[in-house]
Amino acid sequence: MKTSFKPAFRYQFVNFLKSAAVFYLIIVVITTAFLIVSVHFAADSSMSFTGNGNAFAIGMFVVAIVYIRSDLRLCLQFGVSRRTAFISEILAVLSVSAILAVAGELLTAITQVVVLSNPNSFVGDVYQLIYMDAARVLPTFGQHMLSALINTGMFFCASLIGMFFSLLFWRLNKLWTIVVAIAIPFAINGVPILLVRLGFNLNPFIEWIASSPFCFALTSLTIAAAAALIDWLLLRRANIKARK
Amino acid sequence: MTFQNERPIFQQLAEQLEEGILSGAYPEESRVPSITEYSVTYKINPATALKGINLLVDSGLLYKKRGLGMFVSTGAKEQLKSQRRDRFYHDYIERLVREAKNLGLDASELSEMIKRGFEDVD
Amino acid sequence: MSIEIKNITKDFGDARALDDVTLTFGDDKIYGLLGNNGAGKSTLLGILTDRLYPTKGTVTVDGENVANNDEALGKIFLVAEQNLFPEDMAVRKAFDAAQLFYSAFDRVYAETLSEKFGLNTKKKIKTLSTGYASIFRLILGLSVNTPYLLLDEPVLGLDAQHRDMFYRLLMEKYGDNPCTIVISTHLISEAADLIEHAVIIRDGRILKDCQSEELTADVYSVSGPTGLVDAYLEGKHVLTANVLGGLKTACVQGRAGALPEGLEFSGVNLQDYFISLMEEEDRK
Repeated sequence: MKTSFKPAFRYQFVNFLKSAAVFYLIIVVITTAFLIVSVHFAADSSMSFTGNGNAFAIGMFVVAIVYIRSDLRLCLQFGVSRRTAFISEILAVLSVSAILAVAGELLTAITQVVVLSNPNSFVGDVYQLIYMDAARVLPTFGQHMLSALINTGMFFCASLIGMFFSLLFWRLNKLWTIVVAIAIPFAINGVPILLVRLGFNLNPFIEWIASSPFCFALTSLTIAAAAALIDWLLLRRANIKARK
Repeated sequence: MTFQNERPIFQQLAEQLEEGILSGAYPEESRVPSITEYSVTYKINPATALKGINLLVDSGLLYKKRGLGMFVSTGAKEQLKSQRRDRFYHDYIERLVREAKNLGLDASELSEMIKRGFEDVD
Repeated sequence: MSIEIKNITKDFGDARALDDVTLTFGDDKIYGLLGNNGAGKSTLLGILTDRLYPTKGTVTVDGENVANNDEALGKIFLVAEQNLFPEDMAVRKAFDAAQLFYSAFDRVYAETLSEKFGLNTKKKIKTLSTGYASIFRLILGLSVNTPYLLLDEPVLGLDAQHRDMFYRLLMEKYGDNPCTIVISTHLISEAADLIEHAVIIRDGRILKDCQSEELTADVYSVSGPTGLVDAYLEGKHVLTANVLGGLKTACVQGRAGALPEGLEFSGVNLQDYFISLMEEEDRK
């Protein structure tokens, strides 16, 4: 059976990339500002910047929330089945995540080299924070690759979770939307505490993740797969509204 | 509910075509508008236009030139005139007489009126 | 080459919007899906295009089920009131996207039509007035050249001139590139001459599904003095009747046989037939 995967992917990918590029530029500006301050003005004080990964992740989260509905609606108008639209959305998001991760890694690497001149400044990312002991050593190419891998996983998960919220609120009526919106912050804070109270020791799990970047990658993959499944289940029978 | 005589559109179209042939608007051996042109001009389904045109094709007034369209047959004008003469009695005389009877006019009164008509009307 | 709708039922909670609907749309004909507001027309079209899920029944396009089927869904284009385009998308960007998804999309034609209607393609879709938003979607529908074109209340918000232009353009497109067209509307008189096949729907059920010629051939109007008319109507299937003074007019289902003296007979157009049919249904 012929599918409309190619046009759907092209459309979604370009959209995502454009928005992601905007985020990227903002981060570049911030990083450059940091660079300038760190190298020229604050050579004696301690500064650290590890924001790239988290910033992009939040960015992808937001962009995904915005685009999932708008892309699904357009695909529907143009005769693309939900399944194809959803799959291409996931792949588009994955591709953009990878591109952003690599680009971000490049940015981080350059920043690290430049900042080397200032012994009090630290530039890094999630990878460096978790997996590298000597904070002042320039990561190797291999470590950069792993960092990019981790970031890809992070961004991808963030996007899928963003989609989850978007699709969830689409399916819920007003009352349930409010209930869930209030419940979520409680759940995020409360569930781990509850687990600990109940005797579940999360430490081994956290240590395991911290033991190797591949564990991190595996965890992200699992979360991503679960999120994707839930997203599909939410999407399958949704009455796609046109609230425009 | 309206009181009009709702003659089917294809029939009205056919009559219009016949008028055009009689008046010379559609000369013999010339092309009449295509089905699409009719459907666009009168905002009607092409099948309706086709039905109207086929009425004239069936009576030999139009014929089809493959790939070029519908053309007025030679002698169509004469054919129509004689058709109309044949129908004149039914289309006009019968109705005229029926109305006259309704109004209480007799045959001689009607004849007088008809004679007057020949003088008054150009 | 057709869309086959088989035993489609759609419930919204307790409300049944469509009840065991079976229809065929195909053979490059123009269909009218005629019914009052709330009859279920939009629901049906939504189900054909995967916007809504049927509670029961199936829809196939050229033999293939539409569910999760890009090829089948790509053959149908629905022009409806809902705007499914992104907030800030400009008209010409929408045309770009259409080009991406539809191989037969005629960009030049779309631009020409935009000019004809006075649609500024640089404008964002959300800033268009109701009329121009309709026009934009109509232009898309006329330009994508899919085998099936569904129009849900196409002339909503269009002024008389634009309505006229649209109907003519639709006929022109149909003449040049025939396809199966379904016009869903409650404006019966406007659609009457355009359609070849009429589907009359009421409260989610199909009342009539046949060539519009057959419908109007099978009904007539008789009027005259009340006494004479009543005598004539004996044993006939009367849809509606009106009395004005001593004059009675009735709409009768069937073919007029022997015509007694003193009674006037005439045909009934599609809109009047539709109204009479609805009145009869109301009485049931």
